Amino acid sequence: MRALCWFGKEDVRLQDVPDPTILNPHDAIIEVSLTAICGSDLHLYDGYIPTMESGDILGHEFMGKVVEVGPEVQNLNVGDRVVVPFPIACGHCHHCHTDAFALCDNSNPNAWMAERAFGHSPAGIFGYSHLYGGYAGGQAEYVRVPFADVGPIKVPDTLSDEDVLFLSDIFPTGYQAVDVANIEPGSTVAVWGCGPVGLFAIKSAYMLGAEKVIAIDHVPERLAMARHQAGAEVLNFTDDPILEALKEMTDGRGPQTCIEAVGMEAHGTGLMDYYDKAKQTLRLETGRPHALREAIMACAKGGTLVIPGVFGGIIDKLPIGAAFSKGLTFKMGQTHVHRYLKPLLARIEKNEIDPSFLITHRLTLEDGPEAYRTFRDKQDECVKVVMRP
Amino acid sequence: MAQTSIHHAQHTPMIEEEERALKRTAAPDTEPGLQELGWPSIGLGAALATWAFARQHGVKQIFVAAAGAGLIYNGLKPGFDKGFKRLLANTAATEPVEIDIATTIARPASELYQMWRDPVQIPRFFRHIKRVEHLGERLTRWVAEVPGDLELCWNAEITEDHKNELIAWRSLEGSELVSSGVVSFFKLDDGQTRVHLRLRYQPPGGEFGASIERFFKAIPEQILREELRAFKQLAEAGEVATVRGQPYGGTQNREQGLSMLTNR
Repeated sequence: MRALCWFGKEDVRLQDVPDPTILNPHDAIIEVSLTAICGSDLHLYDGYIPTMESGDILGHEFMGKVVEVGPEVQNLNVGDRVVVPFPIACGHCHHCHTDAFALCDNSNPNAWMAERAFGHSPAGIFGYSHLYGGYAGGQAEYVRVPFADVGPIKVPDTLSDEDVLFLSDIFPTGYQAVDVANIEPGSTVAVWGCGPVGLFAIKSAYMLGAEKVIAIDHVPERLAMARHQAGAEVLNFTDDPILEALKEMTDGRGPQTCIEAVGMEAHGTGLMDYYDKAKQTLRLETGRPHALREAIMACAKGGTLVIPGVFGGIIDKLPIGAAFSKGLTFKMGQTHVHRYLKPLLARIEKNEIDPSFLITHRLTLEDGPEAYRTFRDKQDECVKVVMRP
Repeated sequence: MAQTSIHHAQHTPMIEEEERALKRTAAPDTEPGLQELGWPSIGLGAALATWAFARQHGVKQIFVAAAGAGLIYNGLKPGFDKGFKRLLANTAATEPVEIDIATTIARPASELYQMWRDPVQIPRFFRHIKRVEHLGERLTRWVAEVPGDLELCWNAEITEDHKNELIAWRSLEGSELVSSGVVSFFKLDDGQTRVHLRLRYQPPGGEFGASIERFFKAIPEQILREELRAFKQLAEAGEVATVRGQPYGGTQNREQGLSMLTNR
């Protein structure tokens, strides 16, 4: 089969590789019908996630048809059309029992490595480094899905691939960011980053009762999408002094809920941006936490800061004193996608949201290597790339 | 005593019972080694034989050489009786090592106890164990895989068996690996089980020991930690997570790089 493989920084190639096979009794093989490049894949592309190996198959947002099931798979049959959550969860450990699927005890074959890096091991993730298990990803014609009884959700034929693909990651990720903040009806939510996760966070905030959502970015077409497609008020951080503007828009209090949907490669302005870029290049810190710092400073006293943006290692100059003094609550982590599959599929079926609104590029796997660059450089007004194998 | 353990598990409520069981189950500290051979007899026999061959050959020399050979045989006899491999293994035996690890498993203690007592299940999580043979109610024969297509065997006797709570065992005399251990299953309030494994063994020394040194150099504690994790995964999820055998792009060299990264 053909698959997009990682060979190093800014080096993604379409390769002929062997087809995946059933390795464990609860595995299924999926023939991929649609897959996407995630913003977090760009951290791999830029070489900021350690423990990638030359030849690793990329991709954690994918869907398709079941073509083979292992001997102990009960809930799936050959021919079923499914969307697959990006974290791999066993469904039976303590964390899975409490719906914290991205914290599964049993799905990371390299748990020892993650335990050294993080103290404990999170769940394995498709196509996202050996620290997260080294699983082959779904930017391919076929993919092996472990614990197939637990993850994949069957989707009705009345919905198109584009309608449901984003259940695999970005829709639940944006939704969880708001869900875990327990927002009060009528409150104001600020979202840093108008990429796919930020856009879904804006939509989700309105679904969950926010009165006003303020979105922050510097890419004109993304700000336009946040305003026109998602209904946010927008701020461009190259023009607007963000802290002052946010205070002004919230009667001086600051937003009660702040969502940092940017992660480890934030762009900022001024001296601090050069400082972070230099340190990250020298690997003295692994993230450029510009948006995170700003969100801490902007957040209202007693407010909640949610971080769906991906961080992988160590950052510095984090104003922890501001967070402490203002009594902030931090919520963060990978998305417990399994938890949200059914309720969000129901919202799609009821036409409450059309998740395909942010797709700007419809390509094939052959276009993959080029698409990574276009998406990373935000050229060609690129917001979301989907690929058909 | 060499101590590689991390004592994170010591708060386990069954610690006293484990301590007592471990003390009672202790395998003999030293197994017979090459000192068992009759060295004076071998020496004298060798001297006689050398003298005999150094002289001109005659009837007298044949008798002296035969007497020397007899003395040598007499000296080596314990080796024929007890097995040279074992004597070699236990010569220059090193200090005993103790490993102490624990995990929490979301299954009832009774089920985990059953898995631990089942010779068929054991190689599924103890992956360095090739097979376990059932010799009797309390007797099992363990065969471990050692790099270089070698096998390491020992017979183990269960010395204590508290149903659903604790199992203690020790190797019997004549084993190629002198070891003893105790595993306990403690019911936590939330229905999960704290599994605590303590293992004490004496890495084989001598020439045979050298050939399997690599086996013990592979950080046995890390191996056991992964095997206890495999036990948890089997008990909870019904399989051990793996990526071995999945596709990837590029060349064969990758496999080597991966084996550095991946345990499974």
